[in-house]
Amino acid sequence: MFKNYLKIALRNLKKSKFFSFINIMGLSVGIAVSIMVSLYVVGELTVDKFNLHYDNIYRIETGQWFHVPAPLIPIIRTEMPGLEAAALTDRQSIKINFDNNDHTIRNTIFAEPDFFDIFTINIISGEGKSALEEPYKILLSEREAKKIFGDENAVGKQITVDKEYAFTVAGIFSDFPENSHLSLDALSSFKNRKIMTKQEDFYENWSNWNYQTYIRLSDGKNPNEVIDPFNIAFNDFVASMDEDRSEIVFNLRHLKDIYFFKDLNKNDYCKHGNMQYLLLFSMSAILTLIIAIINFINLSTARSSLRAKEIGIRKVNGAEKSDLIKQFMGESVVISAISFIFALILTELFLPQFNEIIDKELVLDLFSSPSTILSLIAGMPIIAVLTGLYPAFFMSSFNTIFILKRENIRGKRGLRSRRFLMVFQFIITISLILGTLIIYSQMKYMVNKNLGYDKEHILYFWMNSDLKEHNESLKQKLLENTEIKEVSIVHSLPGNFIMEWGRNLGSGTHVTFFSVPCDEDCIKLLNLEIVEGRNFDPDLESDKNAFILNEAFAKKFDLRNPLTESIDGNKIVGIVKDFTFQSLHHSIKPMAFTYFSDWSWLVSIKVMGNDIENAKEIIKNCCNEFSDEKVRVRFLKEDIEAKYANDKRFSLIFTIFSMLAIIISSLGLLGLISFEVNRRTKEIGIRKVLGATPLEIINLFNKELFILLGISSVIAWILGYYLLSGWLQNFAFRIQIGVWYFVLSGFITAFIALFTFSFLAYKAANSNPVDALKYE
Amino acid sequence: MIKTNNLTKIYRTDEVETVALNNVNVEVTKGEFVAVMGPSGCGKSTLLNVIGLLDNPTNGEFYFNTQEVSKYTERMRTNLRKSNIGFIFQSFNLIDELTVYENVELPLLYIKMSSAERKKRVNEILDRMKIAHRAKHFPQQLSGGQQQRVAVARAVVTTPKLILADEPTVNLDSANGEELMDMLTQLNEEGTTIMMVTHSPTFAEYAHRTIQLFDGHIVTENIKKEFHL
Repeated sequence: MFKNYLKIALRNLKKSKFFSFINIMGLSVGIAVSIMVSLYVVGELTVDKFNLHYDNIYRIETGQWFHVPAPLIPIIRTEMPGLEAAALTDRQSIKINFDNNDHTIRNTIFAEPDFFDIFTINIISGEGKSALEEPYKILLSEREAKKIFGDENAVGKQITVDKEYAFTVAGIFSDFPENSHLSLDALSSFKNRKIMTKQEDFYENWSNWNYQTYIRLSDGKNPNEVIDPFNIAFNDFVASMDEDRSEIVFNLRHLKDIYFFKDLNKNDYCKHGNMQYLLLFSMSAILTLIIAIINFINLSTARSSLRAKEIGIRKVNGAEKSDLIKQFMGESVVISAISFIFALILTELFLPQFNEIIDKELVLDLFSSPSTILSLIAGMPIIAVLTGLYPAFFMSSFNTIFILKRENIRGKRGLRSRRFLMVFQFIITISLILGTLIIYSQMKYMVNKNLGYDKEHILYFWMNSDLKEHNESLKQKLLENTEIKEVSIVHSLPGNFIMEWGRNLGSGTHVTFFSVPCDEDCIKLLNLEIVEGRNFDPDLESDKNAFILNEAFAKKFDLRNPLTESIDGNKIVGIVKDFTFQSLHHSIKPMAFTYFSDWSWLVSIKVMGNDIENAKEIIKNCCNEFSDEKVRVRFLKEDIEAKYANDKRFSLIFTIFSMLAIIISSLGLLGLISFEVNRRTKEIGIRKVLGATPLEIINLFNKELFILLGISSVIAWILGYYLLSGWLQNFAFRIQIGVWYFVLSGFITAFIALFTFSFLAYKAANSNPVDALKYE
Repeated sequence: MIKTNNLTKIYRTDEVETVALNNVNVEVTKGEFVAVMGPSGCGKSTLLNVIGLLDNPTNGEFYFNTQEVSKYTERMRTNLRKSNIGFIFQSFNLIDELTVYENVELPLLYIKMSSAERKKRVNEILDRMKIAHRAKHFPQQLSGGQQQRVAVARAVVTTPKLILADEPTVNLDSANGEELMDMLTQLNEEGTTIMMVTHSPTFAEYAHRTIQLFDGHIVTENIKKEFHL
């Protein structure tokens, strides 16, 4: 019996090639997109789960900072009930030298030994936890060791770190999993931080809030029961030291919340995911699949009249309803199996491109990942049931006598449900088009938005200590080149990490603001407009440590005459027009330039013309005169654009998914419409015999289509508005959702539908009516 | 074998009520060959559908092999039908996507016969209907006469006790029509009860008895041949 079903299924597929193509292509693409998105989603949702103590790991934070100062650790160890392990950590990029070759290890984590009791690290050779007990030892990842030492055994080798410290490679650990919030290429004792920062009072210094600190609690311990007594103990301790200090409240963030939590105002050195993108990707993948499934249901029920005779004959010959349901379900199993095979091929083909866009390394590992195989095995029957169930019940309930008497059952039945499905399909299509239009416009807006400063011609690099020592001469040397227009030495540039300061105004008000220590050329270099006052004047001794504020500063703290105010006793000499110094996700916050260059290690250079590569060479050559070490010259515009890379990536993926969904949806529409025209061939014939013109016939069809489109548009617009205005809330600077987006989305969908409909109706309307009628 | 008491079938739509069968009393004995005649729309096919357990009557009683079946559910009717009744239609009603062999095999699949037994039965019946050489062909590749022979093969492959034929000769030329009637006669002589709807008085002559229907009533019954149990 199964063989018989399979035979019929394959022969039917072959017979109606166009419909089979729509069904299989739609399902394959839908499934392939779903597989890729699932791989991504599963990857994102399992971040950090490889840690054996996943459930009990927390990071200690305050409302303002993800980092804590080193002297906090003894209090953590004594005042947290149920604490199993705690470790201060600090991530640095270090330069090492081995055998006269320089290497940079980007993600070196300096940690206390308990790090091993918190995170799961697999030691391959040499020491493990014990290496973190003492200074001057380092553990390398397998990959990093191979990079530096090749195939030689790395354990025991001596390396020079940051040109002055001799470290021994104490052990090798397996490459740290990619799906972790931490990047880890090397591990070394936290004690080395004290040595390398050369701070005698390292463990007593309460002003360095620089260290991410992880703890592990005992099984089942409620974090609130831990942090509350800790906060009380800490603030008692603070009060005993310094009565004026305001209360600090610490909180514990569970490991699962670190990866998906990103506050762009605060820095940590972790990798972060974006839950919102995850949801939107999943949604668009599910929508693509739903559209493909609806296509299948629509086309199967619409075409059921073509199967009617077969159903009747089978019934007369003894088939029960259940036999027919089994048969039709069997056919959907065949189609979904074929679609799965195509989907796997598509996934294999397009996964590298998808990876490139999302910047991940997803792999479709069918043979070594039981969970992937299991989900595919489970997925296939689910798709088969979703696609096949309704058509199977619908068709198996045909009345045998009517069928065999050849009464007109051409899809009249199920017309209402088909209209419903068509409306549903329109809604999805219109929403996706609307989403694509708005997301695309927002991205374009961000890329083209005037940030309020010149980012086009600015190159920059960080000085090493040799260059810093000669920074004035370096500046002059650079300015000798005709290609270089201006040079300024600053602490940071827009788009970089900008310090947040807390200071007191002359009036006594405590204010927090972003601060950029810089020299007198910075304002000019960035092409900022001074709206009040003047620039810093190097000839005025009184300008030392002075401030130039942005408008937001004056506005936020209500400074009526800012130039008469002071900050910590230093005068305010000017106000610049607001500019976007963070990303466009943020509104413009209070910030100030400070005329103070001791902390400035960044040289920013404005160049003439557009030959950036040549300018970089000139800069490097100038630096070579003062230092042997090569500097890395960066282009500000690229850095700023990188800030929007995630948004761009998201917009690109969304556009691709939407396009796919729209294409599949349009194909389904084409199928439905061609069936509808077919179904009404006789009607067209009769109308033509009675004198209807082709245009009148086309309009007859389009009227119903317009009504369905109208209903769908209204629903899609409300839905789209709700979802997209929510998404736009992520941007401090955003486009207004204008009426034209709605009109355009409806118009595009109407165009696709009307074009298909009119084309097919035109063909039917121009055919010879005799052909249509003689079939009866 | 078949007995109906005041069999009535009414078709209702929203506004119209059509009485297709009106208090019809028919009795068909086992082994009989009965022709049903009458003008278009007189209820011939409806009678055949009810007797063939494709449809339930609106009123009246219907005994099939002494069982009262007029209130049977679709599933019960299907079960009774699949091993007892074979159908032959004027338009042959073969499944275009299946070969001759597969079309004939179809009823055997639904009575869950073993594959070996099926093969044997289908081959036997194809031989008997002189269509074995076309076993692998699809219906569209056959002539009308050949298609009807396949349809007969399919109707008799389960060795049903009753064959219902709804104007089986309409789409055949006279030679093929006669050949079909000979086939039916032979099956009848082997013991199969046959009830056939026809417009042709010539083909009705093959039957033992002709029932004339008009507007849902039986108007006359003519006995053409002697029939003995």
